[in-house]
Amino acid sequence: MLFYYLDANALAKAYVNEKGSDAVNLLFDHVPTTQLLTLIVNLSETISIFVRKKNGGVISRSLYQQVLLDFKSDVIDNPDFLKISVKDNLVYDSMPLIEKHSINATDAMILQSCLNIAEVKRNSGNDLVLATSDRRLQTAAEAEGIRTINPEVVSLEKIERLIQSEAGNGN
Amino acid sequence: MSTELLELNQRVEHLESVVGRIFDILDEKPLPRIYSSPSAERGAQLLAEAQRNAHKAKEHFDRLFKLWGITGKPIGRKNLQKLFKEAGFDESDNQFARGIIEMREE
Repeated sequence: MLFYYLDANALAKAYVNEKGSDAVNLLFDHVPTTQLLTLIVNLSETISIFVRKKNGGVISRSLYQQVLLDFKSDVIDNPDFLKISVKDNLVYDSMPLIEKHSINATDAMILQSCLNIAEVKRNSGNDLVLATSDRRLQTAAEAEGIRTINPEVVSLEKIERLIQSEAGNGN
Repeated sequence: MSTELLELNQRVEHLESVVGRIFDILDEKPLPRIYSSPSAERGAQLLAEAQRNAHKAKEHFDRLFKLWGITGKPIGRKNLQKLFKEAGFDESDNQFARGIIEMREE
């Protein structure tokens, strides 16, 4: 069974029409929410970008409110969509990744939590896929052996194959 | 709130606090040796913590939305995507995902 870890830029694509939104739609539509997870900071980042666009006059207040209502309903309120907490251990463990891959603190925490959780999933015959359009994070994750998909460049056929392969495994 | 409800609420809060402290103590204990590595143990802790707190995000954001004056009902992701399209947002611009990446680099 594959579990999908969505970072903030992948989450945002579920609510706007951007390059990669179709790919994220496939994940939201066909992967059970029990197999979706994110870092709790990604919630703040997703909200932050919509606040910025609202404050900058790029989106109307009504559109901003509607985005947040849908985001809350799909992700925040859904207890099956796991939100990974940021605790001291995660912050400290992630610090070597900042230097190793020249990534920022948030990316390092995302990557560290992916590494930890992927190991748990692999031990039980499953795996974790990081969905991000942040190329630096994607490169670092792949260098650490984490499977990734970049919604902006992945083909819809590839995502469909991933989802179908799970169904074929009886998961 | 009635006196009984207030007392009940206080008792629940006390219980939650005690349970929270117990979990904190458990986190400090040595490896239970059912994990293949310290990394796997960390992963299991992260997942367990997320499952324990699964309902906290909703409670927190219910309060936050009240504070922000956000009311209404969801209309569905694809309807939202249509609204963005109708509002003239250029799909190839990627300004939301790009904006998040830029925020991280600030």
